[in-house]
Amino acid sequence: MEPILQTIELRKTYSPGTPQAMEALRGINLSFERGRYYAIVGKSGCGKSTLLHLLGALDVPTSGKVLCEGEDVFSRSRRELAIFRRRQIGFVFQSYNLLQEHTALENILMPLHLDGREADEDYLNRILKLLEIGNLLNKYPAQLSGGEQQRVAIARAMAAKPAIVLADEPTGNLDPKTSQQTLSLLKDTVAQMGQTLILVTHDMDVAAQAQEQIRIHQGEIVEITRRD
Amino acid sequence: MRILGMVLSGLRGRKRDTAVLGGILLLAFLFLTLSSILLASFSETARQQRQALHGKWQMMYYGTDDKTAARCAEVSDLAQIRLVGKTKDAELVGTVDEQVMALGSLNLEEGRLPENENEILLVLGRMAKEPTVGEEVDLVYLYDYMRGGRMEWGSEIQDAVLRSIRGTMHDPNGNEIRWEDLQEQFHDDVIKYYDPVNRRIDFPRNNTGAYGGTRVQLPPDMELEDAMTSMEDELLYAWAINCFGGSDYPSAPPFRMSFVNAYPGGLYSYESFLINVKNRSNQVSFLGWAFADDIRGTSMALTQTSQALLYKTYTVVGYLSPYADHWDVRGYAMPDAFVAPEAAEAQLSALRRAEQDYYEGAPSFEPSSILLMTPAQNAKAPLAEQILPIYCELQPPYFRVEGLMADSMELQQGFLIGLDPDTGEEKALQMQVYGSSYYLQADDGTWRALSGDPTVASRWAEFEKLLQPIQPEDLTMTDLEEGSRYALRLNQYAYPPSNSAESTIQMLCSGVLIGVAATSTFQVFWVQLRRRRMRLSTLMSIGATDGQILRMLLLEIALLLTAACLLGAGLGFALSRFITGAMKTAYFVPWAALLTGIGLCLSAVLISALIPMLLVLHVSLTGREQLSRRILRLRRPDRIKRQSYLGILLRQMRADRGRSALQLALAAMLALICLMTVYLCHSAYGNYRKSITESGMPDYELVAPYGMSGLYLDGFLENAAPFTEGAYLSVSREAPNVWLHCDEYVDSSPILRTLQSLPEAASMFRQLPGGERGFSVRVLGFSQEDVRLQKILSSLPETAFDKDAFASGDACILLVPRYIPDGQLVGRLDVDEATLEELREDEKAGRLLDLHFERAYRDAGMEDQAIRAGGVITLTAFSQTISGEQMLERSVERSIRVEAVISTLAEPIWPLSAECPSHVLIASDSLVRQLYPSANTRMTAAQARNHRIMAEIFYPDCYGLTRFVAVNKEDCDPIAQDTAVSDLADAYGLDIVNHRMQKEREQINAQRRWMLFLLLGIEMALVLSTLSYSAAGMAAEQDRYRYGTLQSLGVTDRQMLWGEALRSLGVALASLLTAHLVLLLVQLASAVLSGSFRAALMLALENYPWTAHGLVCGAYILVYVFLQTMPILRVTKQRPIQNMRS
Repeated sequence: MEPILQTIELRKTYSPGTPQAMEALRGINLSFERGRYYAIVGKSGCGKSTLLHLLGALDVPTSGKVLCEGEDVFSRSRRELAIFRRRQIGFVFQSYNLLQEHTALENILMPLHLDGREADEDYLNRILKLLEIGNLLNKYPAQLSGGEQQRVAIARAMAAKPAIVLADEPTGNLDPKTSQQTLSLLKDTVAQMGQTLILVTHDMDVAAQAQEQIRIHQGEIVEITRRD
Repeated sequence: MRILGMVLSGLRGRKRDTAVLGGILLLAFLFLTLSSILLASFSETARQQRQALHGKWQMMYYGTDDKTAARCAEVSDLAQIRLVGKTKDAELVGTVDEQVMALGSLNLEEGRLPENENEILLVLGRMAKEPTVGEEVDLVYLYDYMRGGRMEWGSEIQDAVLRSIRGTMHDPNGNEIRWEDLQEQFHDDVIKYYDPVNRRIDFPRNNTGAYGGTRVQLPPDMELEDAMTSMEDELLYAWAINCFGGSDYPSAPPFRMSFVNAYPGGLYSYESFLINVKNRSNQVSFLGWAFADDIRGTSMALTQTSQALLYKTYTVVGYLSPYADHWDVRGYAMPDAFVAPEAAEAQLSALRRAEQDYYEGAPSFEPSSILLMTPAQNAKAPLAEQILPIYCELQPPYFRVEGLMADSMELQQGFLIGLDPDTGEEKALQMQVYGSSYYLQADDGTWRALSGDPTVASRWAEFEKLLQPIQPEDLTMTDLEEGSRYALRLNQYAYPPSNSAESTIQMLCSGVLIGVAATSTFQVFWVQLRRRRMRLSTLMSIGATDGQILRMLLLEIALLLTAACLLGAGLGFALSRFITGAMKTAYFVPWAALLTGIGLCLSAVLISALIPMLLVLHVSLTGREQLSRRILRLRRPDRIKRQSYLGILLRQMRADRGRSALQLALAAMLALICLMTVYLCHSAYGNYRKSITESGMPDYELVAPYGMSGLYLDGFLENAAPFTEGAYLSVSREAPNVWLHCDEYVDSSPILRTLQSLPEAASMFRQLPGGERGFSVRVLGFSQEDVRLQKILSSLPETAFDKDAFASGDACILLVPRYIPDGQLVGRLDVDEATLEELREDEKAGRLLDLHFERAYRDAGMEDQAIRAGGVITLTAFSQTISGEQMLERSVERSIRVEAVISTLAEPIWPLSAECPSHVLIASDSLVRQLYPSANTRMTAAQARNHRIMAEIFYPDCYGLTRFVAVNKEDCDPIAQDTAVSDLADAYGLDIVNHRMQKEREQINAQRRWMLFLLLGIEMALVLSTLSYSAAGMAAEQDRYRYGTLQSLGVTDRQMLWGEALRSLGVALASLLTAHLVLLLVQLASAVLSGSFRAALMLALENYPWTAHGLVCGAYILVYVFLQTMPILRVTKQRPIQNMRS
């Protein structure tokens, strides 16, 4: 199967050319297939979030490539990159990143509206049902609990039917029970929608549920474990 | 101490925040200090420049006597110019010393001050032929004296005169030339008794008409004229020795003397009289309407005056720069030559002795002075407090003469206004003057002859039985500032009124700076505290009390304030010193204003910092409660609409109302400053536009008191070539003594009826030969080619105008003053309430039309008879001539068709655009010639001057006027033009009004105000723009996380930039609207306060530069959008994750 995302010798150095230069990624080569669930694990500061940000075009690599369906993501203009993020990627952040002055529903629909599209109501209802947030739609984020906010954030990430969902420690701010529930929801939703989920975590239990586990240490891939 | 440590480490830790807030405060104090010092320094420089040009004196007391001078000597800084006399060549001669030089800011062009008796200092450019320094100059002093009907001669003088006469002349009949013959007959017309065949003068004996009196045979080599002069000289020389020199100077008098004797009806006498009256205008009150408003006093001028010519030789020791035009003397003559005070004392004491010896005269050479006073740098009010009581105390009670008209050379009639002895109310009694006898009509209708006693005091005693003199009202500073009829003058050139635009702007500038500092402190501090919310929550969670937090924050802002104040003020001082040094202007620190400004700024900043502090103390320890409350205030959308990026931004604005309000406030202030700058720059030229541009004021105005004949005019224009090479000259003729037959209008006019009952009626109405009443109108005649006439004609409909009739003088255009409704009826003459009400009602009903004899009066019921285009009016013009002692009056009646009635001029045409108090007939010059057959004449300069004086005293006009209006060409030398026009006026005896200086002064003032407003506007706009940019930058920085999130959701850079641009465009438009509303409200408020709403509003918006206004609005929008979008551009250049990590 052709990988939906692929990295080739991906490197990222922060503050290059300075004494404080820090090499976060050192030549990462990875392939991500459509519809699969990946977990990137490693200790804090090993470069897993950096990798996720590069995969989602939130940051640019120092060298190397990220290919999306065979096309170099970073050869695109800034506008095309924004559209790429809008249409292909759904982000779930650890701190939810919801816009506080918009209701949950508005937050969810925001990527679609920014793209000038209307929501696919069936699809949306399925997601809302799956995430069990149908009764929270008219609330502002400040009125929601952490778990509820994260579920709204997941719905927002998926609303535009992205091919890839990138989640950066989505359960980092949640208690174990909520964390488990949220993760299950995310995993199930993505699976049902046929999307690729790439999740960064340092929780080994969470990582254990992934179909493929990528372990990073000091910016290098040290182990890839498939669980087919 | 621990708190101080925490604060210091906090400030160090938040370097950027500290730098931003500190920087803003520093800038505020820097600009506050800088602008205060610079504005004060510029103002001080302007003051010094004004004083260098216009003198350091603050008040001038003109024409004071010794008593007043002694009283005023209490003023700490006083300079006195003693007026020595008026000369033929150098006009007034005064005294000069170092004090006069210093207070008057007089510049010595060459030479030195006079020290000895025979030394003189001249003013450059005042004498026709200027001697060089060291050269001798003969000056002829002209001293006027007035006398009654008789002169008394001492026996010694009689003998001296007779000896002298008998030495050169003899009576061929062998009779002895006797004193009484000479005395009695001398004033008669010698020519009448001259026998040209026998070359002798046969005087009638004892004025009986019968011959047999003294017969004077002229020597073979003597002409009649010489003989007359010789006799006069001999007679008067002897008299003058007695009067002026006495026996103190038998061999070497201080000056040589000769005399011109004058009679009633002799022109010279009236010239002298006029000068005399003008120079003593605070003491003499008589003869008429021409001086009614200006002249006050107790002494009585007699109709017979003489003039003494005193010759004196001086050595010129130097030249002063011209100064009189630079002093705010408003019409008073200033000396053109100066002598040493000691020299003046000797001369004046001799003259005063003569005055004491000769009781009949009231010579104008009684010592008078000009006092220049200044007690401090800029303290007019304390000075006025000292001088005004002295002035008021010394002002004599007075009677007012109004409407005095000459019926003949001997008889004059008018009104004497004084107080009723019984009621104390103002009252007018009719007065008749026959020669030097006066009659008042008492209440019972009888005429009371007043005493023939020539002494002034007894005359007034008679008057006072019928009328009490009016007690002068005490003067105030406002009177002095507004009036020009007092002997006290304020030097408003050097010391303009204190509530000038500059001080208003200075206050405004400081106020806005303080406002900006306070607003920005609030904004920046609020943003900072919000960012530090978590840290503060943490501190509170570990047990910090509210008081501790407050003290910490207060200490923080106090430290910042102190540092910013010291550094900003210090930098302000240094920078202002540098700028003033570079601009070579004075350095002046307005300590009181500056310290007040800094104090206010410190207080305002502290208060504005305290508000966020108190707000932040209520923050929840989690920070969530406040956030949710803020968000929950938002109205939930009824349904999900498609969201745009702009919508997202607007939602954010609505959510964060405090920040949005501050942003809008800053934007509105910036917009207000931009609009105010345009408005103030416009208003800076308001006075200039009103008085100069809109009136079409020329550079010079020359008026000949007669209608110049065609050939003479050609000659004049030829001789005017040195002047006209640098100027455009237009000429018109005027006939002011023309009366409109108004009977048919008067009867139906309550206002005219009211006017007729007033003393002023004498000058407005007169009985015409046919028995009708006439109302005074002015006729202005243009030649057909005159550009100004063409302008008027071109504004009229072509079909309605018969140009041929106009050219032949059979038709005219009537210019009727436009009535201005607001508040014009109030405060003029005593129109009773009923009439007033009637007029108001008529006005409301639109019944008041075009016949307004006075601008302030409306003519109820006149609409049927009102003059309309196509109507025929009848005019009578009067011409007066003198034959012997009789004044003959001729009249010419003409009917003329009114081709058009206009109220406004399409373009300003001087002098109509400056003043049009009553009806003016615009006609061809042929009409003027038809009305005044004599208005085609020529006069020498001396004749013109004398005629003008006669006309002023006895009758309005007999030869019309010729008015020249001149505008300098752009490339001319204005000083040379001044000289040329002055020479021209001298050569032809023309009245000259030099408007050029006024225009120049108004223009310079307008330019200075404009520049000041512009610079201040730019400065304030820059400060506010910087603040606005900084606030936008801080907001963008604060929202970077949010921007990063939006970027992660796929928002493109373009969406972000356009969104921000549109949002800031909305804010710019809203702020512009707010600024317009504020300005409109201010304008409306000031218009309401001014009492004349519409007029004030029209005045403010008249000629308003809407294009500039529009351009500034456009520029403001562009700049504001740019300033607000730039920080977002910086954000968009960052990668999403960088923004999120911020």
